Amino acid sequence: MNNLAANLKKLWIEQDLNITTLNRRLRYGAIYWRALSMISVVAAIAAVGAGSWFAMKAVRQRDLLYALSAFALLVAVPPAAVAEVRARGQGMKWHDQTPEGTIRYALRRTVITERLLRITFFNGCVLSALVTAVWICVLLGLIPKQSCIVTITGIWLGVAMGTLLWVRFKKNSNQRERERCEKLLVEYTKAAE
Amino acid sequence: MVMIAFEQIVAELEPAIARIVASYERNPATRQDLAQEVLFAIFKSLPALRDPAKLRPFIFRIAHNRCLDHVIRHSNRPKLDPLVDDLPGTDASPEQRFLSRERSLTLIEAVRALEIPYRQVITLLLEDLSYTEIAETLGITISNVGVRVNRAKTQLKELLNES
Repeated sequence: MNNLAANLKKLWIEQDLNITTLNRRLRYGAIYWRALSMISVVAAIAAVGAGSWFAMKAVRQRDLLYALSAFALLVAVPPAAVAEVRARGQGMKWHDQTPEGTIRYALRRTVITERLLRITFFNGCVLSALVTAVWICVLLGLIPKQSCIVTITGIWLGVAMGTLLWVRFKKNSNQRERERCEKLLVEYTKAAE
Repeated sequence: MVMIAFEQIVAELEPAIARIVASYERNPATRQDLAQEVLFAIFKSLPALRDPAKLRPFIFRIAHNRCLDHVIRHSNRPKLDPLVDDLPGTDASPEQRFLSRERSLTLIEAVRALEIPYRQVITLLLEDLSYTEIAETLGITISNVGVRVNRAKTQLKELLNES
């Protein structure tokens, strides 16, 4: 066993590994993550602003299309943005955590991700429902049929379908992450015995 | 000021950080990205270091936690297969070099194939941390460090006998 330990130590230290220290990238990395959080906030404010403007137009012009758009923007976007900002705000301090703490944090993260995915799924459904509602109103004559409606509803439907597919994919990967956390916790519990 | 301290730390501990990262990630390209994430985490956490004497446990804790998070996200538990690179060359004949390389690869790979709690204590031991420093790094008791080291050695022997 002593030979093994000596060999292992020698081989371990002699490993030929290089990591490139990119200081500039580290500085940009900090800016990038702050920018992402800002974008969520800005997007939420813009959605509320646009939704309010659509709502005013809907009231003044008695336009159902504006009303439906306002409803979608005011109902769907703000909760998602708030949830995402809260999720980002719960960032971990690596120096504070033990390995078990890291795993438990990752588990909490999967729970938060699941919540975000439910909200995103709801948004996808709201958008799909909006498209359906618009076309029902067009068929009933409540909204005049214009050429732009096909384009606009086509885009909304594309976004909705893309969102729902993405949610499905993320849900599977989130589930796998949760399973890994649970498996690792078992390993650490055994190691602590 | 933080940048200067960070650069000094990286200059001193970069090989050790690289070895720890390599114990979690086999793919060289992904390893580079993971190493950058570790360095970034160290850079962000450095202002929180109160006692410079505890620098190594502080740095290694961040490195192991960040790598553990990477494993959780991507599940790169290495199997006991030889890697292609990472070992220095020798002056022996091609056949001797091949045999030596195979033995060496298996030994390093066995460390990489350990269960993570045991891999962590072994890699920290190989980086010359004391049991006290290992306990501090991993947030466990010194006696548990001893238990994990013994179990790691047993697992290593089993893995090497299988290969």
